[in-house]
Amino acid sequence: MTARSCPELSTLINYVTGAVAEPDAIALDNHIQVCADCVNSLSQIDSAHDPVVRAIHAAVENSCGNDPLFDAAEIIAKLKSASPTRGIAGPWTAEFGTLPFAIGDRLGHYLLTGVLGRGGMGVVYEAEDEQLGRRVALKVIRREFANDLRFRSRFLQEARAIAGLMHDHLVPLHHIGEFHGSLFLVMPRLVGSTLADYLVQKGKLPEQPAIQIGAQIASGLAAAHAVGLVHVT
Amino acid sequence: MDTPASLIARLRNEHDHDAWNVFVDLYAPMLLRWCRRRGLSDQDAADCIQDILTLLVGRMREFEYDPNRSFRGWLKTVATNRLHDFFTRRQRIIDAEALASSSLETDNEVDVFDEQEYRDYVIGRALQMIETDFDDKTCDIFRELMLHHQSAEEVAEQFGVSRNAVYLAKSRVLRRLRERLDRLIDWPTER
Ligand SMILES: [Zn+2]
Repeated sequence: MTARSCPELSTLINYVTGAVAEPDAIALDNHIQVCADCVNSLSQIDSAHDPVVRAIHAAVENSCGNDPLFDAAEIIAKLKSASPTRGIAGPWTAEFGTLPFAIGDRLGHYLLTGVLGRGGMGVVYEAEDEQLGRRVALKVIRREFANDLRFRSRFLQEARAIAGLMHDHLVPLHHIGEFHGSLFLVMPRLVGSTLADYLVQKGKLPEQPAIQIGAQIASGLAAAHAVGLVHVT
Repeated sequence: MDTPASLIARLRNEHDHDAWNVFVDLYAPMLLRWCRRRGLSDQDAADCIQDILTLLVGRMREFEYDPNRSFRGWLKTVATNRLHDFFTRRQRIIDAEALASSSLETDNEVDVFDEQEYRDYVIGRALQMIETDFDDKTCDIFRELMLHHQSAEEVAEQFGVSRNAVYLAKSRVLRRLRERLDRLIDWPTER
């Protein structure tokens, strides 16, 4: 584009509001830099009609004197050193091979958003229950166990019994499901590694849990004992 | 130095670590302020912020292809849920009573997720960040234009440059800002 071939008015409007695409913009820059006619045209355009420019005007005025960074530099440095995938796919896939489901997959209305941990019998994901809009822990039982019919029936039986219990310290079980042959458990997000670990790692509730899991969960298990749950085989 | 695509588009690429850094730079200060106001230590706040931003990045593709979604609304939801989890966990461990009366909802200070507050903050921070990509004079010219609504002629005179240079500076900075803020802000509708 030479000084002789001036852009159309609509292009100049886009130019002065910053709305031109970058490949075209360089040629326009070169032209505007030297063209008196275009500068005269530009001076006739009120860029504040553009909502983006108007918002930027307002933001610069309103935040004048404020430092948007304020004293966050230290935290920023810390977060930058953390990989965005830390706690999601990174270490788990590297260390343990392929996950049964990928982050971003859906198991029914549960969207997998991260990996919380991995036990002997399965992987605990962080997930979002899209129906109820809450974050949950979702444990996928490894195929070889899920396919074992005896394990499966015992597991389901115990899980059903737990779901029927109400106790302050017993981990609530939201849901048990099956997705393309994989068995999974859904629990509250923050307790995903307590009771669920028992179910996944041992396949059944322990007889003497107190030492292993601490007083809170233990008293929940006492409730389980009280209804004979632990002896279900 | 030129960023080839919007931040949202770049965040989909897990190997683009620079995009993560920009994302942190842009949002961490605002979220830190928000977490502190709710009584979190900086350590806890850092964990919360990392969780929030990580979750957003993990679902960026979904967001990108849904033109009706507001990033501000999404950020607010994710952040609020994460903080709720934090307090729920603490509540289980420490003392239900004390935390039930904590200031989760009752905060009469500025709401960082308010549309105008959010927009002013994000634009201001983004401008602060992209200014390192331009020379000082370009930045000063741009701020002068934005702050005082001066004409290109006045600003040109003030800085001893041509009007051409003023328009050039304005367009270049605006372009970069738009690119950076693409989809992160719901722009007000036409007047
Ligand atoms: Zn021209």
